[in-house]
Parts: sequence; C-alpha cells; structure tokens
Amino acid sequence: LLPPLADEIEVSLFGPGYGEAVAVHLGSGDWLLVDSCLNDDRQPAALAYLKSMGIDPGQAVKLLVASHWHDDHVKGIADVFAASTSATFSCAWAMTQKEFLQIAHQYQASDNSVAGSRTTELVKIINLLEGRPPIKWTGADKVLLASSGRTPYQITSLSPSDLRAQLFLKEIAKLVPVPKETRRAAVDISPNHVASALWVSALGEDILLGSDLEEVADPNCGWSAIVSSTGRPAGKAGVFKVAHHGSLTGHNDDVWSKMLTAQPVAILTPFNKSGGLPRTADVQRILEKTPRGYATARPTSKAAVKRDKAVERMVDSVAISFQRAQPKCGHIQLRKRPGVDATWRVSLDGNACELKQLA
Amino acid sequence: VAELVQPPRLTNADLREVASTGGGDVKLNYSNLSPDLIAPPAPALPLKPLQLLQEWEGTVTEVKDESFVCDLVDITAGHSIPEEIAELPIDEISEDDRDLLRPGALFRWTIGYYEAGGVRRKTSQVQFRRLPMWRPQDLKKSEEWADKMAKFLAATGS
Repeated sequence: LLPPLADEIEVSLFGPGYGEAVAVHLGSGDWLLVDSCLNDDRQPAALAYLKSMGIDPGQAVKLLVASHWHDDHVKGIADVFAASTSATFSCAWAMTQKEFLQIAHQYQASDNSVAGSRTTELVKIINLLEGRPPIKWTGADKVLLASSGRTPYQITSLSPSDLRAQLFLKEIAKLVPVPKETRRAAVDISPNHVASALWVSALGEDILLGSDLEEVADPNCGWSAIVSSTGRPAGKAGVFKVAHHGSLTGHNDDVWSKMLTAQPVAILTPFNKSGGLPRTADVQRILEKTPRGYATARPTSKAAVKRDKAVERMVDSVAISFQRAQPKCGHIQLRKRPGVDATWRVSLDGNACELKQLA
Repeated sequence: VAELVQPPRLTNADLREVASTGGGDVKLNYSNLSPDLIAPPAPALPLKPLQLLQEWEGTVTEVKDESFVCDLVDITAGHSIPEEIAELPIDEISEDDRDLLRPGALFRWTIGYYEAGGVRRKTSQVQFRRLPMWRPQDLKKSEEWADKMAKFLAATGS
C-alpha cells in the first residue's frame, strides 16, 4: 500500500458491519482519525492501515476525535491514542464532566465481562492525557485544528449544541449505579445527544463527516440546527460520511441541498443490530440523492460462523435470531489530487461494496 | 441409610428438548419414593453439560416483552470481543434468574450433552451471573477519580 501524495487528500472509512473508523489525509502527511473499530485481525483498523503504508502514527496523526461513546465507535480507540503520541484528543465537553467520568470509571472498574467495557476505552484515554496536548472539546461551529502550512487545512466540529450536551448529562444520570445494586455492564443510550459531526476543509476540498448525529423534533438541535447555523464553514462538501448508518433519523433534506455538492460521494458503515441499518428505504433515499454511494459491509455477511452441526441445530431451535455482529471488515478509500483529478477515485477493499448492492 | 435423591432442576430448554425428542425414558420417576427422601430442588445447581460443545458470554443490550437482545462473545473459540448478536426468548431463562434480566446483565449460554437416566441428551442453558453489588467505597473511589480528572480537564481543555 502506498501512502497518499503530499498534495493528495484521502478519506478512508472502515467498518465491519458493527463499528466505524475514519482516517483523513489532510495533506503533507498530516492525518485526522475519527472513532475506532477493529479489523479482521482484531486490531484498530485505522491504526493498522496507517502502519501498513509505513506511516508512523506518532508523527502523522494530529487529531483524534471520539465522535461519541457508543460501542461501535470506540473499539480500540485507547490503543489508537496511545500510538498517536503527538495527537490532540477531542470529544464532546459533556464526556469530560464529572458525572460522565464517574460512570465511566465505575463501570470499567467493576467490569467482569470477557469483552470488557466500552467505558474502559475512555478511562484509558483520560489517564493518557497527562503530558499530551490539551483536550479539545467539540461543539457547534468550533475549530478543532487548523494549519496554515504548505497545505492548509481546518477541522471544525458542527455539534453537539450546548442544549444537547445538557440533555446527555441528564440521560446518563439514569446509569449511575447506587450502593447495593448488582453490578452490570454499561450499555449504549439512545438517542445519542453528543454526536460530533465534523467539517474538514483541506487542499481546497470540503468533507462532511456525519458521525451518528440524528435529527430530533427540536429545530435547535441535530441537523436542523447545523443547517441553519450562520457560524458553520461556508462551502459545499463533495464527500459525505452519511450520518447514523444511513437511517431516516439521521437524514435531513437540507443537508443534501445546502451543505453538499450535487451528487456527492456518499459513504456509510452498516449497523448489524436492532433490525439493521441502512434499511432498503434508506438505501433508496440516499441513491436518489447521489448514484455514488458506498458501504463498508454487505448485508449477506451477517451469516453466523459455521459450527458443529449439533450446536447449529440447537441455536436454530432456541434463538429468535442469531447473526454475526462483526462480519469481515470493509474499507472504502477515496483519494483526490485537487487540480489533477476531476473526481474522487474510489477503491473498495474487503467487504466494502457499492450502496446499490444493499438495496 | 438411604441417600437423598436430588430431583433434576429442568429448565424450559430441557423440557422443550424432552418434548422434541418425545421424552422416552429420559424422565426420572420419583413417584415411588417416599416424600421425605426427596430433597428440595437445589436452588443454584443447574444441570451441567457433561460434554460442552459451545459456550458464549452474553451481555443483554435490550429487553423486550417476551425476548431479549444480546451481544455474544464466543468463549469456546477464545474470543474476547462480541462477534455475534442474538435475540433469545425470555422463556430460556429460569424463573430464579429473571429478576437479573436488564440491559447490561451478563450471562453464560452453553450448549452441550448431559446424561440423565443413562440417556444422553442435548441441552441449552442460559445462566445469568450474580455479580457482586456495588459497594459504597467503590462508588466513592470512582467519584474521587472523576472529580480529580474533571478538574484537570477543565483546567487544560478548550
């Protein structure tokens, strides 16, 4: 694998069907990483990718963003941060408040499961922060990192709003353990109030990374608030990491008409849980907006691993449903040399496919 | 001296297995025993597979009216991350364990063979783990760590 050229922008999306990680080459060897998932070797996918190209994450990664704390976005993120020794860490302000940290510590300290706790990742990162660049909180229209060097770039968070952060703290209060309560593992809470959508401007190109941000009834929150904001970066993005696995709740028509170019490259990671995302209607809705849609995993890869026939028969007789959570990891790579390439070059690896194959 | 006979503690899965195989002579007959020779059912000694075929660790992620959704880690394969997702009927859980069913609860799901009355049978068992309670001192420790870190982050973050 060859690394991108200094004047070549790259957006790489990794996803095994349950998990998501993004790597963006900002130019001149500088990288942005967002979230983390594991590849087929059970290594953090973005980290392994950089290493496979001979890139030292300790030098190259300038910013690591945890867009939110859901399990499918944080697997291995502490290892990514440990290796990215010069990177600034960024997450929502609410995730660094005492209430949330207390819960994170309680669950990781008392976790008895083989799988470990998702909050363990955050606690590990917090413990690594001493001696590192100060943490950058994401929020509405907030510049997280900018460079005015030979290849200037700027990374701006578009969310969460302060109101959503307060809602998040209110929601997580429900998870606070009380004395004499039986210990348990931490679970995700929905809707996710602190997803950080990002706007990346580099080498003259704009990219919108939608995280798992969902639309809510309140026009002062979610995508509606972002679209109507006068403080967000100007321009239209040619690449869209579709929000919340392509779900209807992550969709806003105005995002497509006001924040994206006509027929942008749309990339997404499926979510192989709770009925699965994207649904057929979601795929059709996205393909009506752009024919250039790609996914990191195919739905057919949900089939469970092969086992002893007696086990398979018993599973069939007992389980209402049984499927693979993490099929083979897929990788969508987009590269473009502004001034040289007219359009984005798309490479699909592993389980990745065109979005129309999911319809 | 007569030895106390422990009646087997059959789960719903066992009963379904018996039903699906037609039962046959796998049922033990206690009717000819004196009641005082029969010990009360063991509360926490479910049937152990003699030959374990498969074992998962499960974490409950969602509880529905008649079923629950869970992440499964394949213990048999030596995995440490959830690679499968299942929806299982609540009927699979013994009455004793049902109060433990909530998001975040941990359990073991085993499939294997065991013998009863000289007959080998296949069994599926869902057993919830009765984890220790959170102690006040644990919670206090977490609160102190969180307080210290939140102050550190507030002082350095932007």
